[in-house]
This record gives sequence, C-alpha cells and structure tokens, in this order.
Amino acid sequence: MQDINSSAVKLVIAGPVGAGKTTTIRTLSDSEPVSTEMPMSEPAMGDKTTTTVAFDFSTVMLDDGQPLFIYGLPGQERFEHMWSIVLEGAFGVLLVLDASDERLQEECEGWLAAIEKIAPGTPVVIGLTKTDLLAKPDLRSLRANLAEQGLVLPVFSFDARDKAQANHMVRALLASID
Amino acid sequence: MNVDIRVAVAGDELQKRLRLAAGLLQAHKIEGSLRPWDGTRCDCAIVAADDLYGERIQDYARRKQIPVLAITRANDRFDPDTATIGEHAPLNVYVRALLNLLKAEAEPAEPAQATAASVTSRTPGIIVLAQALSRPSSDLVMALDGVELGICPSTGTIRAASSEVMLQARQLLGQPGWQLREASGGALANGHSESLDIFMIRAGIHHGEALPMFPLEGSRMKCWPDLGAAPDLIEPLRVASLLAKGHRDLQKVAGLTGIEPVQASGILWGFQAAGLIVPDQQKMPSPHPKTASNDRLPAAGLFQKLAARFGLFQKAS
Repeated sequence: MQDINSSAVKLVIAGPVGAGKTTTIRTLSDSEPVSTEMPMSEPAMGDKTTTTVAFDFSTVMLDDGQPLFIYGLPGQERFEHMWSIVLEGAFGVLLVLDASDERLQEECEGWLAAIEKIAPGTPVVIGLTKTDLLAKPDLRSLRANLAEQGLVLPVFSFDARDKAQANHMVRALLASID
Repeated sequence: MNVDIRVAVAGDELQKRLRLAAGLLQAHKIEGSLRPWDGTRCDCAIVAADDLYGERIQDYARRKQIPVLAITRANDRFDPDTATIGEHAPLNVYVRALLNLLKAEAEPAEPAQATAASVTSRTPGIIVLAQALSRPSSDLVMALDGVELGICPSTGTIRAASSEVMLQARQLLGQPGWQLREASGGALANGHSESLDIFMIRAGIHHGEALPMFPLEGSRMKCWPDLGAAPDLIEPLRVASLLAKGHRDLQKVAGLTGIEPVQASGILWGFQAAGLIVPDQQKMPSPHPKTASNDRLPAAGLFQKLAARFGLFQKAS
C-alpha cells in the first residue's frame, strides 16, 4: 500500500501525441499546469502546433489540503526514457486516445503493453477523445477486442475540455480500484 | 431444456428472424438449435405453408407426431389452431408461436426463474431488448404505437427520428407491446443518435421499480458501459466496477453500491439492454479485471480522500 505520509499521491495521464493529455490535465487541475510545451518539430496536427517534450505537471488539492500530483507522459517515442520516471509510484493511469486515429487499436494495445511492462499492475482507464469527429463511431470493437484478451477495463468516450467528464474518468479509475 | 428445430423455408430474412426468435427462447430456459430439415427426428419443424415441399413435410411430420409451424404469406398473425404464422409477423409473435408449438408457455416457471420475464406480449420493451441482446445480434428496430427506435449494437448507438421521439421512447420502454424486427439497410440513418449504453441505463433506472428483479446469477459483464459522456451516472459506474470484479449477487451489489436492490436491478436491465451482459455459459474467454498490485493501491484513508474529491460516493441528483 502507498504510504500517504511518505510518498506523493500521483496520477498519470498517458497517451499518444495530440490525443488530449495536456487538455485533460488542464481540465482536472485547480490551477494552470506547468507545461513543457514546445513548437512541434514535425508537421502540425490540425490546430495543434506544440507538443509536450518532458512532462506536464499539475496539482489538485484533496479535502485536507494534501496535493494530488498529476503528471502527463510525453507522447513522442523519443521521450520514452521519461516514462518509467513519471510512472513510478502512480496509483493509476488515464490512457487518453484519439478515437479518430486510424491506428486506435494498435495505439491502445501498444500503450497498455508499455504501461504494464514499466509499471505492472497499475490500474488503467481508457478515455477516447474526438469521438464527435467520427461519422460512424465504432468504439465497441475496441472494447470487444480488449474483452477477447480478458481485459475488462473502463473505456469511456469523453470531452477532455469538460471538467465533469474528466472527473468522471478519475471516478472510474477509483471505482476500478475500490 | 434443449430443443431441436428443423427448418424447411427459404429466404435469408426469414432465416435470420427464425434464428433470432430461437435465441429469444433462452428467456424460457429453452436452448433452441436451428438446423435444416433432413427428415430425421426433431422437436419441431418450420415449413412454408404455401409450397408443395412444405405440404409433404407437414404430412410426414404429422405421421411422426412432430409439431409443425407453417409460415404463410396470407397474413401477419399467428393462428394457434392451425399452427400457422404470417411470414412478416413481429419477432415476439414468432417466439409465442414457437412456445405454443413446444407447449412450453403453459409450463410454470421454476421459482428460481420466476423473476425473469418472458418474451410475451406482456413483457416490457426494455426486457424484450435485453433478452435479444444477451447474445450477438444484428441491428434491430423496435416499435410501439408509431414510436420507433433503431438499435445498433455494432456501433453502440441508438437512433430515433428526433430527440423528442427518443425521450418519448425512453418513457415507454417499461410498457409491454414493443415489437422487435431486424433493421433493413439505412433504417433511421438520418435521425437523432445517442449512446446505446447511456440511453438504456437511464431507461433501466427510470423503469427499475416496474421491472422484475434482474437475474444476475448466471450472467456476467462482457465489457464496461461507456459512461464518459454521462458524469451524473455514478451508481452505474460503481455497479459496473463490482460486476467487473466478478460479483454475481444482486443484493450484495446493491449493498456495496449503497442503493436499493430494485435500483441496482434497473441498472442491470439497462446494461443488458445495451448488450453489455451475457449469459455465463456463452463461450468467451473469462474476463478478468486488470488486477492492481498492492504496492500501487492508495491507502484506505487516501482512497477516501480521492473518492471524496472526485465525487465517487456522491448520490446522483
């Protein structure tokens, strides 16, 4: 069990570039996150012209004033060396994925495998953004695929800009731990 | 009870409808297997009333005392006296015809299954759908008094002509008389669309008190409902987390969630009507929740603080 007096309470937001991790952290946070956003070295993705190069960081104050630290993982693979540092001691991961990404299934499997390899047993909730961009949403196949692998994880479509929906993702993570 | 049903009718649409109707017999603890007629012993046969081959099978079956359901193009009704059914009769009428043929409807329900509803004209719409989606299904249309819903399990969406019709349908889903049929191409394609999971869970909560208690034993959740766009649905989220951990006792699920059993039951009917709960005997890999290693779990006091901060235990308004 995590000792609340000796270690920080940490939640990690993971996912590929452009999925909405930084937006999720900003929405969950009490204050503006410390962000290491830099102009993208690769072509811009729609309106997105910056990317997180180390990690985003923010805090949420719990009822007794204890902080919950929220970290975002840098999505680009060349920053993979950061992942184990950021995931260390986290009680759970919100995996944010872009539902309109043609490689959604592969991204999902890749991230789940990476998290399990670096931090085995860490509870994960999957949040799918940009579902409104899909002409014909087909999110059930992702859930069915996970179920076939024996993984019963919460897979929620959500709007990363909506505080109530972002909070609901954390609730799902806590419910899966409880 | 397993029943061997032999079919001697042509047409893909009709075959699909018969398969769906046979699947719905499961609500009566009847496992109906459908196979082509080959002249060997079976529990009942389904033939076309209007062709020579069908007439010959009827004669043969009569001699062998095999019950026969004859499908006619003359009307859309079921006539128990002549054991004929109209080709385009609604799905629930097909189920009733098969039950009549198998003499199953008259049999009293076992005490253990007394709470599970039967697919009859008295069955609330949400249960009709729950039973249809307890096994893999193609897209469906369900209708009552001109209110029509397109059910798309493949995409997890539900459609209606407008949001007003959708709302009206939700109010009516606790009523009997809904008719279910397979969707033809493009049914309600241009109408209003919502999440099937959220719609059915809200309907289950709304009608929970009027529904029989959900028979949770023998069922399991195949995947979580997508509740991301419904942050007010906190109790369904907690019920889902308990099912994911393997709980199968309705009273216990209700107790751990802190809600009345009838509310938990309504939520579960909603889950099943969204195709999220399947019979346990269905051959699928046994799902297991991703187990958290103990050294990563927050201590109990900390968990309470996190739960309080994010509203895990707050009551839905």
